[in-house]
Amino acid sequence: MAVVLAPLPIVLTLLLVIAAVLPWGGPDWSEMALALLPVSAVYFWSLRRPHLMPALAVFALGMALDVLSHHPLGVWTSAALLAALAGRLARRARPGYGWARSALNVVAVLSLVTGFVGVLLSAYAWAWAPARLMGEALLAACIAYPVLAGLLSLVETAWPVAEDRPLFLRGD
Amino acid sequence: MTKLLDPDAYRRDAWPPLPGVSRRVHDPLVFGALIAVALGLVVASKLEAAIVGVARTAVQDAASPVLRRSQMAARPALEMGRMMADWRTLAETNARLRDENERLRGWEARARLLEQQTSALNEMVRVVAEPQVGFATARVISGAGGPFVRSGLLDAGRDHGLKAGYPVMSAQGLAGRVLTVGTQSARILLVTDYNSRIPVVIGKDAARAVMQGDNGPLPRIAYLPRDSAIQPGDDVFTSGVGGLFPRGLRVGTVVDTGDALRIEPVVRFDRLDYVSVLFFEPISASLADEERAIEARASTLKRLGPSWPTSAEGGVAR
Repeated sequence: MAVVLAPLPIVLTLLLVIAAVLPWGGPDWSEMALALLPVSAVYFWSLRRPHLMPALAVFALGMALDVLSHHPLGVWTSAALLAALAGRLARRARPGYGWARSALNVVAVLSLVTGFVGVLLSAYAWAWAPARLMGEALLAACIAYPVLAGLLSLVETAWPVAEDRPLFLRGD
Repeated sequence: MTKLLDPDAYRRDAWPPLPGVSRRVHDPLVFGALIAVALGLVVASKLEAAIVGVARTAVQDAASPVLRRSQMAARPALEMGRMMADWRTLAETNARLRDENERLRGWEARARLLEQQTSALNEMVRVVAEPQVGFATARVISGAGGPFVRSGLLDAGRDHGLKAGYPVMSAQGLAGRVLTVGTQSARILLVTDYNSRIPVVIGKDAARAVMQGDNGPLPRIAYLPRDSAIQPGDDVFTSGVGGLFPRGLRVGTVVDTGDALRIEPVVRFDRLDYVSVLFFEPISASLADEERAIEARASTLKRLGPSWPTSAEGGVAR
């Protein structure tokens, strides 16, 4: 059962990628905010179950987001990799964190990712990315994160507590 | 079982580190290398490497059936969102439509009269009828937006007769043009995109200008002659200059934002569902094709040598 569930985080993140590029018709900032959702999911899984979100999968998910959202290849890929790395580094010191510190971590990581994407796109287009749009998208993504994390936590309960190694490498 | 309950398991790294690499630097090393690769791809995209375009189109083609089904699955949620947005402005919209209806009734009679006059004048001066342009209607299966992108993905491509450069219309007016085409999908560039430049005519005096997208909802008016007197409410149509778009496609109206006059597109991009792609061959492209064909023919003649019949001998006309 656990082996069957192993690709679930990647599949769920891929669904978020697809949802992010559907024509929802929201305000200007909503498309950027939607693109931040799969990145938030990558951060969540890298923090909680990194063996289920390997680096190459993050790379592939980021590429899918780049291609489908018609951004220059590599922009969202590097952003997703950055979020995954941040999740893994935060995980090392995680026990003992309160909710306030975790929330600050999320805001810091999403700000880092949004800023990084803004700088990359500004350099690419040789024009400043609109700060207001980026700020609104960041705010929306920060507000959406607890809901997303709550839903993903429900999925996470499918695995035994503290199961840590790659399920397909267990050998026992 | 003991292992499963190990409280420190949460703290351990998931993957065994690379041989000779300590656990502490393993993740930064692997992720750093992949980020470097991703940044390399950004540079390749900037340099417009051909392989990037080919790969992008191939992935879009492969993903288009999934996106089509996903859009259909998400449709109820999408419609609900739109209904809620409409509900808030229902009374206001109703009053506006009633006013508009009154005005349009007056215009209808006048338009019929003008139509009769125009066709009579055309008859008199023997105007050559413009060729009918074919079209294909496709669904927008993906929207894409960001600080510098305003585009969409259509579920029709080369197999349906689409080509890069074709104008894209919604029921209201010009929405954009086809940017890249795959076999089953096509990427369109919306008129509000940062890279969109459309030659237009504005108002009764048909002042020529260029509508310049800046990713905002109201594109700019550029290259407008100093002496032109345009004002808020003036209609904006494509001018046909440059041959990229046919003349007379409705684009929008002039609005005053307080600090400048801008163009408000007639198309509601938040409601872009089905669009029609006009099979209008850009004149510059057809001229370029012709030029290429002539050059190719000339080089073939040169290669074959003087023994090959020339146009003067009635064999091959250039």
